[in-house]
Amino acid sequence: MITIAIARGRLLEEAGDLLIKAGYKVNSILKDSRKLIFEFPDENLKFLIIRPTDIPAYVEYGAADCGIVGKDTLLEEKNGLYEPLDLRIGQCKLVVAGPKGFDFTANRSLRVATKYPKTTYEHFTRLGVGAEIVKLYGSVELAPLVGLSDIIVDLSASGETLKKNNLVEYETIADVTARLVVNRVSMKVKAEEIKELIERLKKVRKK
Amino acid sequence: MVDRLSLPQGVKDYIPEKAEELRRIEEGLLEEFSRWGYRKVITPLFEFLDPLTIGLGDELKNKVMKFVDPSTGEIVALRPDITPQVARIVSTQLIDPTSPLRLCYNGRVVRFEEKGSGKEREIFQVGCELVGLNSAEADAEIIALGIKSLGKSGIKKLVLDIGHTGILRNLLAKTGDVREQIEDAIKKKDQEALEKALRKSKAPKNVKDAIKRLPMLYGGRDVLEEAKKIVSIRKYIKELENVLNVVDDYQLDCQVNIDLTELRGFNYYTGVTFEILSHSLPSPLIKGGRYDELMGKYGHDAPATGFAVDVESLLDFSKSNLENNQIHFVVIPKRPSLRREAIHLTEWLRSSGFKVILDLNLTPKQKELRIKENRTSNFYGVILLETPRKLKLIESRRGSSKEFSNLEELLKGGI
Repeated sequence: MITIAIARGRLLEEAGDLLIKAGYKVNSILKDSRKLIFEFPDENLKFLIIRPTDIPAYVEYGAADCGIVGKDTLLEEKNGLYEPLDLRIGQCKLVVAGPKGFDFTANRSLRVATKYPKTTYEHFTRLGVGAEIVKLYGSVELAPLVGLSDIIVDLSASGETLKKNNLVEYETIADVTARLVVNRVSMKVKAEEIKELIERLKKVRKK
Repeated sequence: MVDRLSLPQGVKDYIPEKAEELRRIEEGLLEEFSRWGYRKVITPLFEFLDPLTIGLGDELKNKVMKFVDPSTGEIVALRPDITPQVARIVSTQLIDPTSPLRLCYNGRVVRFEEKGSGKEREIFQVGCELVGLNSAEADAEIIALGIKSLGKSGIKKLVLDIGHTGILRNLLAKTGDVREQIEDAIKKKDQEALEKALRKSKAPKNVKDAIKRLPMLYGGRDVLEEAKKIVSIRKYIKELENVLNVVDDYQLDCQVNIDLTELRGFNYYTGVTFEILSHSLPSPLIKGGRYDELMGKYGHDAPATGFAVDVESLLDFSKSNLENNQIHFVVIPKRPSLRREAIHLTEWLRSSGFKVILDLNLTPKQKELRIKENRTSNFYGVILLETPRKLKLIESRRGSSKEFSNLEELLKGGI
């Protein structure tokens, strides 16, 4: 039995579709939205529905053998997980954005609002810009509008949300897609089962 | 605000149940080591930083807890690993070119871990080192000893995860400035990132092709046949195969998993490396391998291999045998004037092998509690000494009491 940790929301739908395409009969994870554990004994699979940022911890401590999680979360938190497969779902970008006409490179000191303080810190340190980082948990786009920060670092899929809030994208820090992550020990003690999972998903993911 | 009685993150106390179990596990492992001829060394808890770090792998170098010795101003460090200390001892005190050395140790090591990582900073280790032999037989002995000693601790369904550092050491040396990206991709078993990095590398084609195939080469013994097709690493695969052939002769109950891309302790190990895993635990129970360059750093060039056990991970497995640590008797004199007789009686019981508490001064309430406790145990009784010739035994489980005129009678008819 392989346990897979996965987050609710759009990613769950895309991952569910991918698994079904790969021949796993797991249709019910797309239906019941309140259940947190789904078991499919016939497929030898079990799913835990948790918060996206909790996935690395669940997998690292072996509460789940595998996880499906965005690269953004993996970049933010150092961990000892295997990342054997890019599932090519949940496509978006981690970007630096702010008000139109604001030249952030001209400022030697900036205030940046983000859900990703570590990645943000590393990015601006590389640029040689001293950034004061404000860690937020949601609605990051609001911060520059009300003077909480000069700019933001956040995920952007289509740029639609940024546009609605009169923000423009300055640069991309990373292209983000969802990865299959695997616990180090599980990869070895359940080698054959996990190899099969990887192979089957690899065949049906987007080209 | 820190609570005045709280502990720093990453360390903890062990109450009797856990502490006794931990000791039992450590003793069990050490006993098995000694059966194989491994002799114990004890190394200091802290020493000068410099000699200690000479022998540390890169992963541990950043995790050393250090402080200034107030008397000299020298920087000293709490040991994050015991193997470098053993290497120092061997090089300075135990040089014997004629025969291999078999040494073992137990102790706690201290490592700095990030806040919130949930990782222990103080780790109980038991380990052994085989110095002076550079053969498949030596590698196999260390592996077999690891598996056997875990088996003796009652741990079933073990998996031996084995690889050879030589493979990646050799290949990566030729990859130039994208080496770091390649290493990172291998560490994550991320095939696509690996291929992307390889495209940027100026390494010879055969090296790139070999590296590209490595991440797929994990699993059962058949992996070896596949790997032998890659000419540049054949030598290491043969070494690995030789070791596994010797391990076979030990006839261990253990699944074998081969992984040719394991990067753990990459700059420290030089040959066959291994971990012993269990199906039911998320982290390895034993980590070990060959480290032929370490002794030389301490001035005595010698091949060596060894492993360390993470003792605490074994705690989860052991079915605590309560009877083992169970008190058998509590002796309570009825009057202070019977103290000498009570002490005599207790000592007599202790020398006969019983675990006995002597309660010379109990309030009536405490006495009542003593009789009531440990109801579930089969071997527990409170002996009330009423007069020098009158012993009253109260068995907790049944609550029955009997009277005897001396101890011999009590032991014969009592329990």
